[in-house]
Amino acid sequence: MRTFFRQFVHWVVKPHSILVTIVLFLFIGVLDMIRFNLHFLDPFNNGLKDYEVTDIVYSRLEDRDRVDICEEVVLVNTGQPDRDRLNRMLQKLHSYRPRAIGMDVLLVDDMSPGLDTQLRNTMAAIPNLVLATKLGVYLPEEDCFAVSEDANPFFLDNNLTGYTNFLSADNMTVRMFSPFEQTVSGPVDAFAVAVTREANPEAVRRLEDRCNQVERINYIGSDNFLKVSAEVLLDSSFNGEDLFRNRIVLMGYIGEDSWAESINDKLYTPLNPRYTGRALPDMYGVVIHANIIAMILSGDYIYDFPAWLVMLLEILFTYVNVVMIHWIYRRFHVAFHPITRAVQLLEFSILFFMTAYLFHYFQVRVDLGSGILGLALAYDFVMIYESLLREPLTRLFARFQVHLPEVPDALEE
Amino acid sequence: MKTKLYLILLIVFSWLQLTAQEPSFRVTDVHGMVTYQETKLSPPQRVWPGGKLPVFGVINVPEGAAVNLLDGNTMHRLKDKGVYDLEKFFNIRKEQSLSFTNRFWNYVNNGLRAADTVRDLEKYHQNFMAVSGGVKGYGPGDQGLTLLAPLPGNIGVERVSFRWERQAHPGVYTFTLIDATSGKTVYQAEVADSVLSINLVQLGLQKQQTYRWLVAAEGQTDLKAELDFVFTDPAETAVMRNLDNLKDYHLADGKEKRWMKATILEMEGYMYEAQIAFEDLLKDYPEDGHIRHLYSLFLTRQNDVRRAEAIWPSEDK
Repeated sequence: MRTFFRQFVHWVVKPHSILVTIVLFLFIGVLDMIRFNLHFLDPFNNGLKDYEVTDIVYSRLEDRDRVDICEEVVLVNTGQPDRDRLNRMLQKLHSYRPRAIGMDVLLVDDMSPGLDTQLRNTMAAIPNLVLATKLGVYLPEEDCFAVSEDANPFFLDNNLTGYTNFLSADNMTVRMFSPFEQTVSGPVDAFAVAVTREANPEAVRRLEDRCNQVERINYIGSDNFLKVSAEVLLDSSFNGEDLFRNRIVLMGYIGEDSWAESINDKLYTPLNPRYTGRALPDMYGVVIHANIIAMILSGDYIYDFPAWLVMLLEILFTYVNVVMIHWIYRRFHVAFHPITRAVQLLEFSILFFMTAYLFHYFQVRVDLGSGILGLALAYDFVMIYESLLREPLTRLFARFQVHLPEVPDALEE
Repeated sequence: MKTKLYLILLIVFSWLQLTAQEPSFRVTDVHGMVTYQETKLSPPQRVWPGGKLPVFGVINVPEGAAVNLLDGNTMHRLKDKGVYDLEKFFNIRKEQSLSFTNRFWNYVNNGLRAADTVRDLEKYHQNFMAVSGGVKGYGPGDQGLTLLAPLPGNIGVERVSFRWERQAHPGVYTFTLIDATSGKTVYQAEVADSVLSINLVQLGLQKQQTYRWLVAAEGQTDLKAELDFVFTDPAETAVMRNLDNLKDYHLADGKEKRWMKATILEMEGYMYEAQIAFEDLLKDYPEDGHIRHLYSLFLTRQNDVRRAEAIWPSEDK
């Protein structure tokens, strides 16, 4: 047993490889800091920064020909409606007894006193109506958000509300949302959460139990919802009893009509066919809310590996590679370069496949970014270490009576 | 005992009959007055979103209307005007769905086979023409002469430079501008060059009217070509409205803003303005691979693969 343990330690603990790994991770750390700072100065990098490996899964590896309709949510395209039209739409929708109505239309200004009052009265008569609002500026001293200046109390008071902000800068991809936030007037729900709470409080309780400050959105797509235009809804011969009853209805802008690909209120999502660099935005805000609601209802959340575990995996992965490259360097000195590059390519493909597989089938997201960088740099760092650092470091350690093995793999041979 | 067995079988049979679902299409989105007819003699019924349609009968999609039909998990998008026989769509999968591993393999494989090559440009062209039904349909070199600009589409500017390729004929050309609706000649000139600049307003061209320009080599009857364009209001208003709404536009630098504008011009159908915008960009950034890509793809979409190939960045050829 003791012999086995000694052999095991001999195989696993390689002082030179440990040193290479430490130097490599120090380098990655410094690189990360520089990159982080530079992004503020360099708008060009926005395209590259705003990209994750899992985006490839959404945009290229998902089966986009397959459409699974989300039966619980129906989208109503308001176009750019006037107050009278909104009023009539709400009245008609309410008559079909949906489980909840979410209206993703910001009513900022007062327009016509008569029509505004009518609309407010209609809203007041719909108990399961949730209105969209926005969070104001963040107040660091109080660690909460101010109430948005866009919020019009004439409409919002006495109605349920939810904020429509996403966790993303204007030009970046919407991957996450914050389900709950604090404002100066108390806790508030995200728009999609507030709507779901009206329809299915149990599903929201499951979301609360996850205790995540932010949630990744598990997108199902744009075509996976039934859509009704304002013209159809207001057509006197249309009967939406079967379509709307006991369903969640989301009203919002999906283009002047859903066939004309307008870019108003469209945002970037990981489903964008161009997953790197600048492209045209691909999903309307209200459809993103619908995707969030579908995720909360189904409970199909995305799970992130804990940060400490990811870090541990990255260090282990890099260390194993450094040991292996060191070994190849000693054993196959002449063919070192091609063998190492081939192994790196193979490992990268396997790692990419595993990341994509875990995300696709289990909604588990593993971001081994530093591990991949470590894999790419390991070869060069072994070379640098062997030619520049090995001797000085061996001498330095010898001063402190620590003797690094001269030929690390001598025992194996 | 036998009676009980019959009774159980009867119940099971009735239950199966009740639960067996008639095959049908689900209507997920409708735009316009789309109608369904069970038979030729039966009255047309309006198609509503959320409704179900039997797998037999026909669906009538008028001009400008569209409908999305879901068959199981396969979506059929009927956007073009026409009468569609529903039986032809039922149980037809557009493509055999691949497994995740196969899709992954295809992705890696495609990545390894240099993504941006001239071969891909040709494939892009084939796919684009297949999807768009070849609506642009003007192959350069049709009838032996290649027209370079303006390409078919809207023109919102007053002064237009009509250009064609000269190499086929060193002599004089006859340029003719006709009203495509009435067939009346609006303007005709003999041109010794291969470019002719005309002020369309001074010629009295009407807005929203389609015109056709023809170029014929004098003395060579087989050397001629023609293209249509629509004279419209200036593109600026519609395009700037779209650009203002594009959040990225405000964050972009000067060059990015210019190609974004060119892209929007194309999306809005102002092919001449888009082409000029791309050409100006290429003049200012002749070595910029991204600009060359964008302009090549633009030309490919206009069915001009030969010129696209010439512009395609040389390192990718």
